[in-house]
Amino acid sequence: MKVSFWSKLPIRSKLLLLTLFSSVMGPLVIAASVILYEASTYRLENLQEVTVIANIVADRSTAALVFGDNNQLQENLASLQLRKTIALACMYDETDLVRASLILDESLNCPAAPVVHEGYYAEEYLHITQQVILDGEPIGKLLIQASLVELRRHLGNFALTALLVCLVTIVAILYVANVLQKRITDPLINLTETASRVAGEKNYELRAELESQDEIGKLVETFNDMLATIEEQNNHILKSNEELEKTVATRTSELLTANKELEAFSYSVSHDLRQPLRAIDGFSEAILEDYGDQLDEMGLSYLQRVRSASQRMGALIQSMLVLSRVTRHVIALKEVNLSESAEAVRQSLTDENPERQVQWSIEPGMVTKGDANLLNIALSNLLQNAWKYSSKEAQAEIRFGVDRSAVPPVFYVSDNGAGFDMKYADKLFVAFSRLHSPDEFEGSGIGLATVNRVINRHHGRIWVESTLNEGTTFYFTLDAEHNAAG
Amino acid sequence: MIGARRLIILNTILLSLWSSGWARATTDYEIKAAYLYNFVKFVQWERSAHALSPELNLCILGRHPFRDVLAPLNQRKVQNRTIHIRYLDDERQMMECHVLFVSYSERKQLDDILSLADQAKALTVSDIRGFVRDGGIIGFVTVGNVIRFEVNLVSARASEIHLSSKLLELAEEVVK
Repeated sequence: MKVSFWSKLPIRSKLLLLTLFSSVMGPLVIAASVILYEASTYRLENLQEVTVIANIVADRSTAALVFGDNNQLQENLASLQLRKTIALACMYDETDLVRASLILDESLNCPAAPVVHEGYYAEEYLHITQQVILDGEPIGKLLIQASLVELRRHLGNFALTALLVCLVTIVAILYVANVLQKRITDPLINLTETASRVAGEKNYELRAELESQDEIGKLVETFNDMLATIEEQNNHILKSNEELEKTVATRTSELLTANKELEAFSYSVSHDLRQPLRAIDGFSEAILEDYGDQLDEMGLSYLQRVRSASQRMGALIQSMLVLSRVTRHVIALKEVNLSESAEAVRQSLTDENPERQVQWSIEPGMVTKGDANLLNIALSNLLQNAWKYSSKEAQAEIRFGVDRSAVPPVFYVSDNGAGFDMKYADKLFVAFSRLHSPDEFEGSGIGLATVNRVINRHHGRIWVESTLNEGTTFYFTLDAEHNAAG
Repeated sequence: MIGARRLIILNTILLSLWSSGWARATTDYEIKAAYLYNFVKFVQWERSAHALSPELNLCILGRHPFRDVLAPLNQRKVQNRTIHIRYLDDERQMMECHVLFVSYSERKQLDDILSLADQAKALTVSDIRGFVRDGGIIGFVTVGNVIRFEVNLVSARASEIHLSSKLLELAEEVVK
């Protein structure tokens, strides 16, 4: 509680309290110790003084006592009046009869039977009773009672003076400290305000005012240096940011233009190439039908090759059109039953090649969110791939399933076909790159690129595991919701 | 009133000096005897013989009225000296005296006695009227009904006797 109070206190108040405390404590401690010392020594000194006075009076009174001169005794006692603290003085003869008395405090009286002692303090008074001795023989007694009023007044005056000194000190310190502390705290406050403004306004052009050459001045200088550095770096960052954004904008627009041009080019090329290709194939077929009997074996074979090459090219162009369609297609999300789609692909593949013996295994009820058209394209590409590369196996197996324990679920399509060396895996999804020659397996080199693009457009991931001559498994995830959310 | 009280006080002093069984009324001479004894306490003999003497000779000259009042003073110690009471037959015996009480009976030969006492450097005390003015050192006087004393400092100085200021303070008159 106290600590938090102290920590919340402004530096100015802290400094003021510190100076006040240290400078007031000094006079206070000194005053207190002097008062204590005075109180203890005063009693002793007072006792000694009064004893000496009593001795003098007693000695002076010996003759008057033995010659019975009461007037002289009274005179001797009267001289005690000079000592203001003395309240009562009594001179007794040998028979304890009061021979002379000085009563300055009317509440006091000479006691009847004085007892000799060296002096003690009691009831606000110092009591002294001593014998009057002449030539070694006691001839009477002198009793003195001195009040402690003077001691009280003395100590009171002392305390008052100490208090006054403290007050004057406090006032003086408050004044001086206020003036001096302004010199210490003002630069600090100035610095704090500048720092707050810099933080609040993010204005790094501000500078703290340099008001002193001490540590605070150094702090202000360092702070200003720091601000300068920050300002410079900030400007630098802002500038490079601006440049970067400009560059990005330029590149983006360039890229967009290039992409559009490329798409337009590839579409028009594909589209425009189909027409002459159909003519080549169509007229080659016409030559075979109408003039086949006029050609020898060699001619027929060449013509057959022209046909198959133009058909392959047609398929290639068809694939490119699909790829560009996948790229430009606007995704429409809905529930898609992948199991059913796969079943349809299996049916058409089996119908096309009824002679093949393939063991199919399609997990039922695989439903996901996505674009039905695109997912169909991807799935048929993957299943056709598996069908194709397992074509040389006597006991071909094709499996399509899902691992629902993963998040998001991982779908897989596997076959026990030719497989490939994993070191070429990164080339697999790039368009026009093929791991097998057309002689081994037919293909355009565009299929997996198309699949890759479909999965990408569903914010999924696709990867492959394969062992040469043992089979290949494609894994993919779909995160279409992300797309919907995004 | 004061005189009566003073008498009682002196009586008590004497009581302590004399036998406890003493019950008679205090006479002037009893007071004077006490005075004699007390004077000694405030006197210094500056002459070497008197100053160094372990004895203090208190001499009574003439037909004295003290009867046996002084007897208890004999052998008492004052200023570390032993008091010897001596009753002189002849004034020429006074050379050893520290204190010389001159009785009223000797008033006729006072001049001779005083000149001898001057040589003896003795403290002369007497109740002869005008004793101090005639050259004696301490003379008893009666003021009202109170016995007091006068002092002649000139004579005291001549006899090389120092009297305490406390004593002078109490003197009825001091001749300087």
